[in-house]
Amino acid sequence: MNIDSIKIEFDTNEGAIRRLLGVIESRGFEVRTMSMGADINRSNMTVGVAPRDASRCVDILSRQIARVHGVRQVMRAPAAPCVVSEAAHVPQG
Amino acid sequence: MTSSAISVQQVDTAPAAKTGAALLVETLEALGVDLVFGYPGGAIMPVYDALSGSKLRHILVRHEQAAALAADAFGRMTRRAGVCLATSGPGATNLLTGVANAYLDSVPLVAITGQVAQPFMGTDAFQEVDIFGLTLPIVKHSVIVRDAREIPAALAEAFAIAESGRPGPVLVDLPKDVQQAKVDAYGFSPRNGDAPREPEPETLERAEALIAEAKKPLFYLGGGIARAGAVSLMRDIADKTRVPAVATLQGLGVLPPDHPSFLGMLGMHGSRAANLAVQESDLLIVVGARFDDRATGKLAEFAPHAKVVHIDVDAAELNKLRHASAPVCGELTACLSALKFEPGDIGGWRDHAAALKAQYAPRYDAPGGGVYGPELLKKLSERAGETFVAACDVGQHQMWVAQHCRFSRPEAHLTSGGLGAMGYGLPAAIGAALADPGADVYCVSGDGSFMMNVQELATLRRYQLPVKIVLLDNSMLGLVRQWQDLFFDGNYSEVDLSDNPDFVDVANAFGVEAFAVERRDEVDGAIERLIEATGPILAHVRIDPEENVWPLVPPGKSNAEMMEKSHEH
Repeated sequence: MNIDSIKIEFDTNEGAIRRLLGVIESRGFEVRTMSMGADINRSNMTVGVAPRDASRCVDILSRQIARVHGVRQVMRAPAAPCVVSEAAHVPQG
Repeated sequence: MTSSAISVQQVDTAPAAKTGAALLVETLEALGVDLVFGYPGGAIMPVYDALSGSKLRHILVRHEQAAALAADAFGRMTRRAGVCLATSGPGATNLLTGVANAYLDSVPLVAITGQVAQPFMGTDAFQEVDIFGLTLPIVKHSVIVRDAREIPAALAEAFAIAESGRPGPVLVDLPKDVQQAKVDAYGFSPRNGDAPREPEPETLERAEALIAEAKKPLFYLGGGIARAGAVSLMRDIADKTRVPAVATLQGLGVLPPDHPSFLGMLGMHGSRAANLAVQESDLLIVVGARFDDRATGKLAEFAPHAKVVHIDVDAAELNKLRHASAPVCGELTACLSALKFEPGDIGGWRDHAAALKAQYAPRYDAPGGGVYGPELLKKLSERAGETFVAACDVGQHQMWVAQHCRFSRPEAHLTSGGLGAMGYGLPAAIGAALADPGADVYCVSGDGSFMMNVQELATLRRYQLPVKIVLLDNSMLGLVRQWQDLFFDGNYSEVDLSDNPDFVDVANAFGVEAFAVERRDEVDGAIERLIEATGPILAHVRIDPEENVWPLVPPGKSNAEMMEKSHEH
């Protein structure tokens, strides 16, 4: 399974790391690697993520991370563009 | 990813020392809040102490979940964040369902929770729970205020975030020592909500080209239109273009059901006309909707011939589940104003859509003398007219409301769409009645849902809110029973509620007027009695336990595979 690398710059606020890791995991990705640094105002985190199934798209995850309040920038290593499958998710009964 | 979207005036440049709790109350007043829903307890007592001398009106509910759900309804009705207040521990956890409800339906809400004092945080103290952590997946944002001087800024930011962009709930957790601290230096500064987004010209051009080329375009209207205050703009566009339209559960009311272009709700319990039009369409113009699975059915077979113009304020929704040929991201009012909706010759398609609507119009000629819920609800909404507001619970009655009621505006239809939370109806009706005293607010409930927040009859009584409750009682968890019948070989497991209390007696015990409706020939009189009531009133309506919601798209099936009444055994 491919591991994509996402670099996130965000405000150094209480709970920010939990929040970002929570978004990654709840949106269907595993966190495989992580490194981070921080100063008093700004933090950065580079996360290696792997999708839990083939329907998960790291481009969409990047946008879901970007909308988190306090996130300043989300960058990812170049990768093939994500084509959304018509059957991306199976509806739950 | 934020910018200065909202500024708040500084309220006090040379303040005298005051407690954090007093500062919280003063800040809420300065932000224009006049109503909060809540329930006191140990860790929020300083705030309640300060509340008693304030201009804020506090509505004392009887369960914190009701505070959050009422605040949710207030937010839907006003487009301003509803506010709920609870203590730490169980008070805070009782808010969770309401917060999740607001998150899943993109409703502006600010939840303020007391917390144990900071030295006790992390020690498993009495009524300590990490509500910040518990709510992380169901809030747009959250903050623990660690210093009383930060209270004004934190609250201003909470409201700005809750109300801007795609709205949502924000949690403000307030340790007790912060509430008690005396501060004499504080002030507001401009706070950041979501940055207003303007659509990109290239995607607008692409969208316009697709609209011009389409032979069978279809508007797919979602709840984002109401949240953005874009209803009248959308109506103008629908009137001008006469493009056929369908709506999601949250999009009902953007167009009235008798609008010539409107085909009804799409999806699992959508109209056959709406679902067939979607399947035949060659262009979906999706406005403020997110391809929810209840709307799309089997995604791989949803609208198989259609390209998509997707207009939404949230970039994360674009291309999430369905590829958009023209993903238009921006504030809906800006997008709808900027886009030129100039369809080609679609006269034949319009005629076909109108024929579908006529062919598959609902029928109300149910046999027998019992009350037919859909007919009652249709009559009630039409009789109540423009001021009709329905706050639904969840179950068969919720779908009947969506299918058969007439809504003059989206805010007239308060329903727990994304979360599907039984127990929403009565608290939501309370919130609606307080948000819009001119509205004629009906709580439409079922006997299962009603018992989940039945204690709020006491709130109705206390504040004499003129909420009219229509309790459709089939002594059954009807929708679960229907699914067990259709998809679990009729194995009725734990759906029998035939030991319900007498709901007229229950209402009377709370001091609420109530009456029973048993037969169809009593319906018109019941409707008149409800409409004429000036205070809270409950109509306990007996309906057939075997009645089902039709049409129904079976789980995992395409919207083209709707089951109809004829499938009944």
